Amino acid sequence: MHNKRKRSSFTGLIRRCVALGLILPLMAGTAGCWDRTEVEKLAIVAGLGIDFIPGPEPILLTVQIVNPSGLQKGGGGSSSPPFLTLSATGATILDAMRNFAKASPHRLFYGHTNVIIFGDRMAREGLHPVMDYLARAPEFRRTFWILVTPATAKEILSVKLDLEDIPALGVTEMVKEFRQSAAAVIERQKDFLSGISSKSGAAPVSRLELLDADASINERLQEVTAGDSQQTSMPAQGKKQLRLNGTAAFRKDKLVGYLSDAESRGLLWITGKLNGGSVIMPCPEDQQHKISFHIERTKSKVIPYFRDGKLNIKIDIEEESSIAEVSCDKLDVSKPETIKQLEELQAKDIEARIKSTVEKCQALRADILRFGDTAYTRFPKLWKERYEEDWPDHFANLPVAVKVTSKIRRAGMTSKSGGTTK
Amino acid sequence: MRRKFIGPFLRPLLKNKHPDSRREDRESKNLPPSEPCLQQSLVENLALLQKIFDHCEDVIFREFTIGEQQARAAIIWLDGTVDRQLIDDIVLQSLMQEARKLPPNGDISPPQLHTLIRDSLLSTTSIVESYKIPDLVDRVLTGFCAILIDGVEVSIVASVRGEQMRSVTEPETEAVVRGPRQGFTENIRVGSALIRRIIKTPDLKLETRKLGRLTKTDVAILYIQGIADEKVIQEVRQRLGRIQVDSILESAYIEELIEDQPFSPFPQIAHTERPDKAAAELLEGRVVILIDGTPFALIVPTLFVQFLQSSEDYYERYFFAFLIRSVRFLFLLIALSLPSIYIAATTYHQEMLPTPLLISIAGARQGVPFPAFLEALLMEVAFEALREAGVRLPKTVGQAVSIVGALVIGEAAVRAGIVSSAMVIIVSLTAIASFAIPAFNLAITVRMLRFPLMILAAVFGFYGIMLGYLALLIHICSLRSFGVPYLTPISPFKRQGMKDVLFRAPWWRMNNRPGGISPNNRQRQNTPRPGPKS
Repeated sequence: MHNKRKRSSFTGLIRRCVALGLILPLMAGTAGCWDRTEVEKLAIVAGLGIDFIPGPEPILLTVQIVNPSGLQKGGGGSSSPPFLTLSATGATILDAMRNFAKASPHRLFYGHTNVIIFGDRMAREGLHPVMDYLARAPEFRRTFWILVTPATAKEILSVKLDLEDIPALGVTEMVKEFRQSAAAVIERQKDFLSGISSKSGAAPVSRLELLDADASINERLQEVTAGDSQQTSMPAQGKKQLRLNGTAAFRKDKLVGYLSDAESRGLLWITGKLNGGSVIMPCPEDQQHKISFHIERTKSKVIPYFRDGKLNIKIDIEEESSIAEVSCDKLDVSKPETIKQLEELQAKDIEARIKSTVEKCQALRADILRFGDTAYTRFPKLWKERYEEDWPDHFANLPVAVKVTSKIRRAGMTSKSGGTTK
Repeated sequence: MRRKFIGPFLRPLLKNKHPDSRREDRESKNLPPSEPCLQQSLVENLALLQKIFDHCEDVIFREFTIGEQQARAAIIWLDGTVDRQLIDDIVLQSLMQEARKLPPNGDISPPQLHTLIRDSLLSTTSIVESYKIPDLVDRVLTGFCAILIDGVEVSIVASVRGEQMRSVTEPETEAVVRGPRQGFTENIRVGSALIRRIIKTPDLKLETRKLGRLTKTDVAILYIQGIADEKVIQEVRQRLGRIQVDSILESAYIEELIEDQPFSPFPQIAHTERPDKAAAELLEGRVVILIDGTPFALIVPTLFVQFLQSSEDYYERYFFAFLIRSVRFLFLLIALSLPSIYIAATTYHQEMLPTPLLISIAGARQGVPFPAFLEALLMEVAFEALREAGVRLPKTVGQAVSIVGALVIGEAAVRAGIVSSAMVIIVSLTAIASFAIPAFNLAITVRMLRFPLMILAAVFGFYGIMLGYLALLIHICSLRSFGVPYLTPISPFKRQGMKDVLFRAPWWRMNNRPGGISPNNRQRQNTPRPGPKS
């Protein structure tokens, strides 16, 4: 009896093994391996740039491809560069991407594209067709950063970056660092899409520019040392550098204008994304010297309300800071009254910045401040009835009040100006 | 047995006899109808025995006369398994010298003399009487000394065992930093004594039986009555009773003959070389099987988690046990699937790697002629060969092999661009991981299963790895060891048992024995949490 049971389980096993032996090659033949690609056969696209050239093939794609053999450590004097840029044009973005295949022995792999840069012209034409493809194609991430450049994306992607072998990866690092220090609003693709499809119908995008910073600095240094010109021999032209500077405002999918660096910071104040950063302002009664504060904590509230049947916006900001630098002569920060005075001055300063940002946005008729969203959440019916149509126009004429409350918590490690003890 | 393997396909062709009838044949051959008994005449007995032990030159016959009686007698022993000093002192001394004090003349009949010798002359502890020739032969072969007296049809068999054996040393396969340094030896008595030294209760039972038609190996079942599950003990007895084999040379023979699922790659019976571990298992309600001739004791029923536990977990403080066990669980996964994950990630799912990592892997793979799968297979096979070579070679040469293997071949292969440095890292990490699994038998299983997983990864990517994981999970969920589900206490879930899986609870919290193994006598301890207040 026992023997019988054992034997039957054994035959069962044999049968199962035979079945598995038949199924496995079938599975391998029908399902497997067809999309297998070895890593070294991929051209890893680190950054993608999209420009617009009017004509039959308007889309110009520029890809920055990583060249791993150029990155090998200690591989001797191999002179191959760490990255390559390729360009292709096409009627649509997909068409352009297909055209790459004609020029590249390896398949272009977009799974690691972390940054997409749009040229000014492209952004003004409207990102809709491009964004549609990027959202539809499975290979692209949903988290890549969007940047706009007043120059062309092709130019930007050909520039080498100091300290980073692959500029596109360097830009990604820059973007992350920038977000950390809260210097500008930088959006991922998904945030951008949600911004332009929201009630506000606008989104901010960071602006990446190509700047010859060295040149202007050298020029200024030249002025300082104008007296003895033998000592300075700085070149009038420096290296071109990438710099994140300011914000591009999009209404729907079209670029409508740029905000300056200072205005971009106002944007952060309003949207409450400011964590860190500093406020620098002139000393009271002494415009020559500066005093600066390190921002520790901010809280912003955008309150929509109706007065006389018209929509108003009140921006309420609470801010806590500590003193970071004092170069004023006659200022004793150990006195509570001084602190009080500084708090008021600081509040006024911040208020002014925010106001200028709001005015700029209203002038551009781009609600990147998300007032539309806030108003809609608070008064959905009224907003729909009166403001949904022509929101940009309504936004441009919206009365906005700003109120800032400042608190200085600490004076840093010393209470005297200049670090002296007396 | 071989027939059985061709069985299902060829049986109809061979027109064999029914297996049951064959079995009866064999059993009848095993047991001769009547066993020859000893005769009264010493000469006849000796002639018979000398015939049996023909050409066995290490079986020694020594004839002599007992005392003044002038009764003829002989002793027979197997040289090498007995202590000659003992024979001299106990047997010959008493029979030749002490017996002189007996009254002379023919006053005592041979049977009386026999009784006298048995009861008052032989000053040794262990004496048996043997009536039958086969029994006598068996005993002589196991180190007894048989005394035959003319005119008596019974033989006195005295134990004078004194074979050469290894002393108790530290177990090599299960070394610990802190803990007892004793290990089992090849002698089963030493083994049981070592366990008895730890557990001093008459409830610790020991049942011995001889297995193997030719080797007649002593096999002992140990359990603690009242703690071990009666059903499991009964099952062990039954399964051992079913064994029909001519030899037992190592515990592995028995393991393979009594395990639940012979076709599973997973080990279902744990073994140990450590008496303290065997004792711990006994105290958890398990049954330990000691086998003469090997220092490895079997432990049943066995759970999967046991293979990831080491006795040191209990000898170090419990925080450390938690840390080290988490590392082991992690390394189990690494040993099983790191090469396949690498293959899947680099050939199918490049988007899943961080960008800098992908770039450096791509850089390392520049110019490597093989696809990642072939490369991994090549390296894994090379590693297995290297390991095997290192194990078999003498220690001094073994080092040379590892130097050649690791440095020369590894370094040169990377330099020549035949394999990528990333793959070398993956393979070495996998190797380290497989050595971090405390049980060698589970480590072998994991090493074997790595290859099918690699094939799955090469064909289907992560999807294939997941399929492989699922198949393995389903398989080990279906396993049982002596009626206990293999994955206890994880599935079926046992709260008490979970205190000793990933996290070992401190002793003052492990109030009960782990669930699932035995329903009896669950309470283990009742100490309150220690501290100055108590």
